[in-house]
Parts: sequence; C-alpha cells; structure tokens
Amino acid sequence: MGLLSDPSLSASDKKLKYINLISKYANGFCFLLYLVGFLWFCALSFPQLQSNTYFSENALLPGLVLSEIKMDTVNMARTLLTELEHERETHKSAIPYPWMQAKMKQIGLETYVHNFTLNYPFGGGKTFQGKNIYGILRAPRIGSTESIVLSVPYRPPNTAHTSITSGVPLLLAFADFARRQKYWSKDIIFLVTDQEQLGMQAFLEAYHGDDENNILDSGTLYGKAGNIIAAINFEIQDFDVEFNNLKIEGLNGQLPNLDLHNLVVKLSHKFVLPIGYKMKMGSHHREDAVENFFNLLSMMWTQSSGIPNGNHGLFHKYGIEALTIESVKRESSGRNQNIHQKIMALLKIIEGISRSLNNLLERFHQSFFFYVIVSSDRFISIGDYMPSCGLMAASLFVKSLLIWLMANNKPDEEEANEKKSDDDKIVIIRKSSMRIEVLRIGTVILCSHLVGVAALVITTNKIIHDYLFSMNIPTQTGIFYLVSIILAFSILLPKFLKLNAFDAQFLNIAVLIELGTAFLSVSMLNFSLGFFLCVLITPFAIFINIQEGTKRNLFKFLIRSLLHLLIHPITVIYGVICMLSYIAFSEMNFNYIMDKSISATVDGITYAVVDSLIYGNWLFDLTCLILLPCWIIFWIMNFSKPVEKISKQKAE
Amino acid sequence: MNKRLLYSLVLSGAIRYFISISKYSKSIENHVEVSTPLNSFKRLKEGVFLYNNGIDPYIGDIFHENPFILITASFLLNNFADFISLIFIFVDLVTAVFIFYGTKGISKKNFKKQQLEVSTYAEGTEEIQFNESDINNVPFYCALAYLFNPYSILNCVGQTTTVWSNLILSLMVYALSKELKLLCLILLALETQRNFYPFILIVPIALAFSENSKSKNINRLMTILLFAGIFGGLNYLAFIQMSSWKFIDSTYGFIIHCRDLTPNIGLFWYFFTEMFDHFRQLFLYTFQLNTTILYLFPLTLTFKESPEFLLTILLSLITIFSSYPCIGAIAFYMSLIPLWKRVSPFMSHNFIVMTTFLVTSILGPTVYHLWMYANSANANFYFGVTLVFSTSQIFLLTDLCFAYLKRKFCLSHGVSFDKTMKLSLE
Repeated sequence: MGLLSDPSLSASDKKLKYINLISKYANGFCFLLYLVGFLWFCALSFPQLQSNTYFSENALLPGLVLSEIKMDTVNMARTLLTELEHERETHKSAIPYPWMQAKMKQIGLETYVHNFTLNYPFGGGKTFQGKNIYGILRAPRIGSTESIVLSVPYRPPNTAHTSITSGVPLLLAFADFARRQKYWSKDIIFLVTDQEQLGMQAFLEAYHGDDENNILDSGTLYGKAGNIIAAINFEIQDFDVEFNNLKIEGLNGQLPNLDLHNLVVKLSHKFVLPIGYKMKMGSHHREDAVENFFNLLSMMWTQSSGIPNGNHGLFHKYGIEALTIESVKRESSGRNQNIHQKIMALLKIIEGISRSLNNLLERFHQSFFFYVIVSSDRFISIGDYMPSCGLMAASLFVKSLLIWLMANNKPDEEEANEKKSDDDKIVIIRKSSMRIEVLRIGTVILCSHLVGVAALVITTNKIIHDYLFSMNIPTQTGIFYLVSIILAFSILLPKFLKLNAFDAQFLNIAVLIELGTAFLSVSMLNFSLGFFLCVLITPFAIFINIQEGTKRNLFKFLIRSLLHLLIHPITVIYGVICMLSYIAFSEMNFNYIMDKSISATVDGITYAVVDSLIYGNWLFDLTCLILLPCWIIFWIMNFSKPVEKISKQKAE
Repeated sequence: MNKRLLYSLVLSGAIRYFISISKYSKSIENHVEVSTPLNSFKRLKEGVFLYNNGIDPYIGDIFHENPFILITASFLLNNFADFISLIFIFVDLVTAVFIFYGTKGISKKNFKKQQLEVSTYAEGTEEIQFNESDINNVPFYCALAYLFNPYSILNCVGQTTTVWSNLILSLMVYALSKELKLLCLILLALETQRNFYPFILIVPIALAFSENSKSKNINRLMTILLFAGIFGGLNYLAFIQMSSWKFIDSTYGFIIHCRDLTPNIGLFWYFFTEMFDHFRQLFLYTFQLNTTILYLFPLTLTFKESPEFLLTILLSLITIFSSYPCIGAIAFYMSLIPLWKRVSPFMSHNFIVMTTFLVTSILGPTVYHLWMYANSANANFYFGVTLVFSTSQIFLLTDLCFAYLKRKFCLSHGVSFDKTMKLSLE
C-alpha cells in the first residue's frame, strides 16, 4: 500500500532534508527539464528518429488499377480552358455561372447553385454575397450513402491572389470522364467555391446543417450527396506544371490522415510529377539534420496559427480528411511542348485518388492523425514528439510542486530555535505561522480572468462595433483603441490588487498549474502551437521567483518589470510580426519595419477576431482567456510586497 | 440561517443561472462526463413523453430511471416546463443547505464523542482535535465545497437526475445527523432505487443508529431488515404504479449488467468493449463485487467507531467504481470531505491529487472532442485520461483513510516522536 499512500509517520525529517536540497536547485532542475524537452525536439531532426511513411489502410490500393484516361479528356480540358478564358473577359468580378452551369449539365451532373451571405460583424451591418456552384455525380452502384468532394476555388480576374483558373477545366474534364465510368460506389461532388475560404465554410455549414454561426448565413443546399468521407482541393495555377505542392494544415492545426497524404504522394510519383511537402526546388539532402530541422519548423509555424492554408482546412472540423494539391506554374517563359503529358499526369492523379477513395470501406482511421511532416516521405508521430512538450509542461508542474513543498515546510526561525533544544524529536504536525488568504488569492485569479473575458467580449461584441462604426471610427482603429484599453487595464491592475509575497507564492502555484494544463491540452489539439508557447513562456515562468527578504532591490525590480512587459501577449505578437517582416523585406530600413509592424499588429488582431467569429479558430479565445490572465497574474506577483514589511505595518 | 451561507447560496445560484442561460448549457448537457445513460435529462424527457402517451418506457432501451422519478418528472414537465432549469438550480441549492445542516449535526456529534474520550488523548494534540469552532466552520466549508465545485455546477447546468440524487443523499445525511431513522432509511431506499449501489450505505447507517443502543447487533439487524422491508415496499409501490415488473430489469438490471457502453468517466465501458463474450459474466460480477462488497467488510471493521467517516469513504468508492459514474456524484462525496478537516494535516498527496484532478478534467473533454468531433484521436486517449482521473480519486481516498488512521494514532501517542523510531502503519 506504500505505493498508493505514504503509510509511514516518521519520514518527515528525511523529507525535509530532500526539500532543502531541492529548493536550492529548484530553478536549475526545472530548467533542466525544459532543456531536455527542447533538445528532444531538436533531436527529432535526425533521420534516425523519424519514420518512413507507409500505408496502413489496405483498401486504398493506390495506383493498382490501369488508368483509362485517354487523350480526348486532355483535349477537352484544353478546350474548356480556352472557353473559360474567353468567359473571364466578360465576367471580371464573379464566377461565369451560366457557362459553368451549362457545362456541368452538359456533362450530366446534377447541378446546383448555393447562395450564402456574410453579415460582416464590423462596420454596421455590411453584407457580402457569394455563390458556389456544384455538381453531383451519383454513384451508379449504390445509393447515395457516401461521397467524396473534389473542389476548386474560383478566383475572378480582378483578384489579388495568384490566378488558379486551370483548376475548373481540369475538374470538368475529369467529371466528363468519370460520368462515363460505372465503377463508382461513392458520389462525387464537383465543387467550385466562391470567395476563397468563405465559400467553402458556407458550403460545409449548409451541408452539415450547422446553423449556429449567425455571422455567416450559409443558406440552403438544394441537392446533397452522401456523407463526405474525403475531399481534395485543387489550386492549379497552370497546366504547365513545374511541381505539385501539398498543403495539409487545417483549421486549428488539425491535419488529415497520413494515409491520404501518402496516397497523393505515391500517385504523383507514379505519374512522374514532382511532389513534395513545402517543396523547394533544388536538391534535397536526406541526411541533413539542419535542413530537416528547418523543414520541421516551417511546417509547425504554418500549423501553429490555426489558420488553414487552403480550402481543405475547413473540412477537418467536420471530421473529413482533406488536403490541397497546389500545382505550381513553371517559371520559365515559352510554351512547353509536352503540356499534354502534364495534363494527362494531373488527370491520372485525380483519377487514381478518386478510385482509391472509391475503394474505401470505412472512414480513414488506420494511420496517423497526429504527426509532423519532415519531408514528403518521412514523418514524426505523436509518440515521438509529445514527450518534448510533455517535459516542458512538466517543468511547470514540478516547479509548482516545489514551491508548494517549500512554502509548507519552510522551517520558521522560532521553530528552529525550539528544535535546537530537543534535537532528537521530530514534530509531525507543524503549525504554520502564516495563514493563506484564500479569498485574496481567489480575487486576484478571478479579476485577471475577468479582464480576459472582457477582452474577448469587447473585441467581438457587435454592439460595440456598431457604436464605433456610428462614430465613424474605422474597424482597425476601433480594435486598436479596444486593445489599448485592455493593455492599460492589465498593466494598471496591480495598483488595485495588492499581495504579500507569501500569498503570491500560492498564486504562483495556481498560475503555473493553469499554464501547464493549458499547454498540455493545447499541444494535444495543435501540437505546434503548444510547442511554441512552451518554448516561449516556460523559461520565463520558471525563473519568476517571488522576491523575498525585507528590501526590494530596485534595479532587479526594474529588470523584472521589463522582462514581464516583453512577454505580454501584445508585445509578443508585435515582436513576431516585426521578425517576419524583417525576414520578408530585409532590404528595408529597420525603423520603417518597426513602424509598419504596429499597424500590421492591429490588422493581425482584427483578422484573428474575424477568424474566431467566422471559422471558429480558437487562437484568439485562447489568448484572451488563458494567456492574458496568466500574464496579468505574473505581473501582479511582480508587485507583491515582501512579507516582513506587511507584518510590521500591521504591528504599527 | 447563517448570513455567509446565504450569500454563498445567492452567488452560486447566480453562477448556475447565468451558465444555464448561456449558449454553453446545451453542450454541457451533452457531455458524457455530465450525462450518462442513467441520469441524462434527454432520456428523462423521452421517458416522460412515452409515459404520457401510454407506452411503457421500460420496454425500450432509452429510459432507466425509477418509476417515482418518472412520475415526478412527468408532473414537473407537464406543469412547469418553462421553469425546469430554475427548479434544478433550486434543488441544488437546497441540497447545499441540507449538506450544511447535516454536516453540522455530524460535527456536533464528533465533538461530543471527542469530549468523552479527550482525557485519554496525548498532550500537544490540540491542533488535530475537533474544535468547538469547527461546529460552525466545517459545515460552511462543506456547503461551499458543494456550491462552488465546478463539478456540481456543471451537473446542475446539465440538468441530470443526479441533482435529485444528491438532494436525496443530502437529506439522508441530514436525517442521519438528526437520528431520524425511518426517514433516513426511506431516503436510502429511494436512492438505491435510482442508483442501486448505495444499498451498501446501510452498513454505516446501521452502525450509526446502533451506537447508543444496548443490544447493538440486534439493533443493526433490525435496521437492515427494516431497510429491506422499505425497499421492497417501494418497489411494490412502483409496481402498482407501472403495473408491470419491467422496470426492475430496466433499472437495476441495466446498472448491474452494464448494457450501455457509451464512454464515461468510469472504468467499465472500455473493459467491456474489449471483453470476449464468454468471459463477460465473470468479469461483470468481479467488477460489481469490487464496487460493492469487496471493500465493505475490511473498511467497516477498520472505521466502525466512526460511521460517518465510513459513509464518506463508501460513498466515494461506489462513485468511483460504479458502472455509470458522473461528475455530479463526485461533487457530492467531495462536499463531505471537509468534515474531516482535522485529518487533513496528515494527508500527504493533496497537491498531486488536486493537480491531477485539474489536468484530467481539462484534458478529458479535449481528447473526447478530438475523438468524437475532430475524428482524429481514438478511444484509447480518452480512456487513458479517465483512468488517470479515477486513479487520482483513489489516491484521494486512500490518502484520506491513511490520514484518518494516522490521526487516530497520534491522538493517543502524541505528535512528536523520537528521531530514531520508525513508525509505519503497514
């Protein structure tokens, strides 16, 4: 029973000795844990610690069937592209619906148009309209129970993004081919979405009857196919493809099943189109750990924001495996002779993927859902990467445990004197001279979290934004004011909530546990975000110690306060944006970048708010509800008064 | 009534009210940690609907509440459908009030008992003796532990029938402290009808009522027989009401056979999903013995001088090991732990247990979301977390037991010892 509970009564002396030992090296020990966690992650960049990708789902049978696509489909794709280019001259800012609808109907698909409306949360009831168009190819062999989605975002000619017009003809040509086949056992939905991710979100919401979102009015779908089990999104810049790029990071850092990724990679290899994850052209050294490390970081960086990097990312929320194939245009000018072969290869890849998905008997469940891709054929699974986050979060728990032990077992001076007199006795129950003021600690925790809740409410509340609009303040400026109010309030809070160092210790315990728990669950949901948060915040949280002793060292106090301000969420966002823009525009003047970054920060926060409202990205909510309150608690702890001072004051 | 208790009631009532009108209430109600097949409000509504339409709700596999709850719920849903959430909040607050008065009675009793023995205690043990001020403080802490426990708040917002269960249990504790034997037994029988496992609480109750009688064993036997009689009578009443015995299998049978393998925070579902059908019966009975009588006798022999402590321990045991546990029941046994405030200096795992509670309470819903909604994690993740959650509860329990024994030892031997002595309770 000793395992479950400590049955001995006399161990407290030994325990005290250990505690004294530990308390001396507490910070060092915690930092060691952190370092081990970090090094663990670095070690993952060695190829020996990575696994090669493999297929778990046998039903996929990738590339086993003979491809039946013939030259006529290729020619059709080219003709359709010419027609579409012609249509685009007259439809400058919208999808050429009549043409597309006619084509889909001609091919023999059930064709529908889906209307949706965005009630923009900022700017006094502005609305945006959009129209998706989709065609359903009913499975001839089975009732409409399951379906797969092949989607293309349509960008009108006046878009600011890279043009990806070639996707539509490719998809229509494939639809024409697919309709003539009789082996489909899953419906295929050919979807052309409007307004980038908004259209996709509206389609998915309407498809799943999810009408909780009152900002995006997702409208109704007049035709539905079966349960969607997988989706492939195409962003095809041109038929003259240089290479294909895979995009997998979805909303809130969710990833598709690794089997789907492998499937696409395998088929691309089979039809000799270069493909890769975050592909850079140039030679790829398999054994280079440094390059691997940067590949890892670049994937994790994309994943950590929780913003999908393609339309596929929105499917993940509904438990649908999806990814985007981005075909990158060849840079060199001059018409390529073998463009027919490129189109053929693309079509064969689509055919191969569709037929493999068609084979599936159950949903994807075999392979990994939690992984980090190093290169297109190697990955790191959850069991290998999780310990690094676990160790870093554990250092927070250990630190809080050590503070707890030290606070409860600190030998008081009086007692030490007493102890000298009868040295051979141990006292099991020691009366602590200080009482923890639970109420005060609770108040601090509650207040700091209330500030967080307030930050979330005032930035997302429609009434406040309508008011700002009526005052003729642009959204960005309005958000800037709101954020400054929160900033000022969070910095001024220690003025109203005072603590002594003894209570601050218990506050420290509470905040460490909160952070540790948050990091653990965030890294389960979105490993990359959890990892970056751990790396950034853990060392800071470890080295924050409550100042003890009677006098406050002013210099140390100032250094500490500065450090605190450096780690404020807003400062961090600003720092990150500064860094990114410095990397992107390294030729510019640094002061100019610093200047520009302020407005970029405000824009960034605005987009985060919009993302949270429309798509359900929880990064902003997490920052407001957990990270900001934790920062405030640390900040309040920084201003705690030394113990003696207070007891003296009381005596006076 | 106590002023600070009143403030706490108002405040916690407000918290419950605001959460229940917020947009989160629906998703709280649907959480498996809150609603189990046994206590979910949705199933209750379904059962009432069937009942009102003249269909026996026990024929299907939806409804597993006992007939009295069915009738009460039918009455409430027919007449006060708009005030249901308010009624639940009110019931929860009343529970807290009864916990307050019940634990007050128990504290008084403990103090009185100690007065008789205090001459035998060692010197310097004042710190761990029951104190006169405890009679006022401890019940307040118990009520606070119920009112502001996130588990009980979620349970109340989720409108589970465990809210009523907790009311019955708190009334039972109250009746026990006031020595109202018949009321206590009726309440226990009612709760047994709802949840089956609490029948083992008859042991501490029989012990408690026999403390002042001369022929203890006869008294205990009489109590148990009386309980059996009342329980049988209640079931017969239910039979008259439903005019069929179907409910027996649909309530007790459903609990004992663990027919619904919906994931929950307990230990049954994962195990029995994996189980070969041949061995199902064997392991089922092993598990049920583990929940009910395996620990009953040793614990009874160890803690027989304090039936209230035994009650706390048994209540938590059946909560941890039952086939459909939910956080509402955990909230109830947790609210009784402050009763043993004087034991707490000996508890050595508080920090670890509390941290584990917190981490698993957050991580559990997270991995459940990943498993069910994001379709990425799987059952093993969730079971792993709930296993740790159950383990931490067991840690809490064993720690409490050991601390109680250590305190008892220290009361008679003093709190300071020779350094060279090795003391162990093994």
